[in-house]
Amino acid sequence: MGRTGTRYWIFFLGTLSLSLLLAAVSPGSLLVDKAMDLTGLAMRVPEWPARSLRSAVARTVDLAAGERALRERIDRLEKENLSLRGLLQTTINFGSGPSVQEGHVTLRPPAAWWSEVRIDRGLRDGIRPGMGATQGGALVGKVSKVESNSAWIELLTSSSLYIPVVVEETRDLGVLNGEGDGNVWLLYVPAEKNLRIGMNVSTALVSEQLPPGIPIGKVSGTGSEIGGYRLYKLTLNADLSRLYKVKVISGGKP
Amino acid sequence: MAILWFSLLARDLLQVVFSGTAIVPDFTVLALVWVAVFRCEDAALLFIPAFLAGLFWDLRWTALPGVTSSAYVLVVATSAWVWSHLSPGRRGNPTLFFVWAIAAHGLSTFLPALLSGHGSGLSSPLVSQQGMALACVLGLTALFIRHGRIHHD
Repeated sequence: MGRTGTRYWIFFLGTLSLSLLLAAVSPGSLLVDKAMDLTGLAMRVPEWPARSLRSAVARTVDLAAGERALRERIDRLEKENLSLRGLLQTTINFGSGPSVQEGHVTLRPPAAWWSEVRIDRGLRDGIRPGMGATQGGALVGKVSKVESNSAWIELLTSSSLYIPVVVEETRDLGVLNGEGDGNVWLLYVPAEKNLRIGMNVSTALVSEQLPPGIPIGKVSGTGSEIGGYRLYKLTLNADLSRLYKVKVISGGKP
Repeated sequence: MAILWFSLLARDLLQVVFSGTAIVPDFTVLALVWVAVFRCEDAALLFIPAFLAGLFWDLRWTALPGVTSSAYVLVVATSAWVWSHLSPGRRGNPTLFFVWAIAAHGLSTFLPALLSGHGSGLSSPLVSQQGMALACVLGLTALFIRHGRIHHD
């Protein structure tokens, strides 16, 4: 009984301390990111029937609701819209024209909840770093890292992401930046501009991978004035709390 | 021990199917409670499978390795300790088993939320997961009663 009891405590305390040690050191570790990617990759085969079932059910539900045709129409219109935006920018060559890749969110680390998500589309699907990701036509972030079968998207709420934007009503330019806690701010707008609550904000000309004019959100509040520039709080059009699927704008030149 | 790996695979597959719709009940922790209760006198060998099962779940779904595994290890330790200190007559008590299985499921759900510092509140998916878990625990308790009767006969 004594030996069994000792063995019990050794195994219990050993595994518990190892678990807590892992929990303490794992957030943000590259090794853990790789291990998660590998686990996801290894489970692709056994999970294939479940994914097929989910897709089949979703297709059936879509068909029953007549939603499929509407979605295809929205996709076609979004594609056409992106091409038109590309044509409007005479200085940009969009190559064969932007296209859209839909991806499911497969991972959203709690430790970086407002910073990044992983999707099940990668290099093989034509995803490249810098490409924009949208939800319901509104920008949610930019592709930051790409693996062969997955990609990481840095969200607009991330504190390390800066996106040049334009206020549509006044054509004033500024830079969008997140606080890392779900809040998003518009920076570098001169204090004398006096933007009004409800004004729309969309992407400005950034790169050939992120077309201008993608809706982002609305001005929802006024912040402090720093060095002649006023901060404005933004409310995003995308619902980052219900981020299950995104569309990556691919096909442009890097 | 096969019940543990089967429950882990079943939970993973169901979570893929219900991804974005619902959070599947933690069958693995219920399997761990079941195994730990019946092997309470020699539970030392359960810790490593519990740790590995939790680690797998963390790598696949929670992205915080070590959090679910610590919950699983705690559940095994507590289940085995409590049951080994019960008199043989009370070990087959279905009410005790039911209450402990519900508590263990709650621990495995809310401990990761508390440790990760995110979503510690009662969100609607978490509440519906507890509801589905209640149905599973009732079924498991029925199996526990049946097992006790067969063993008694």
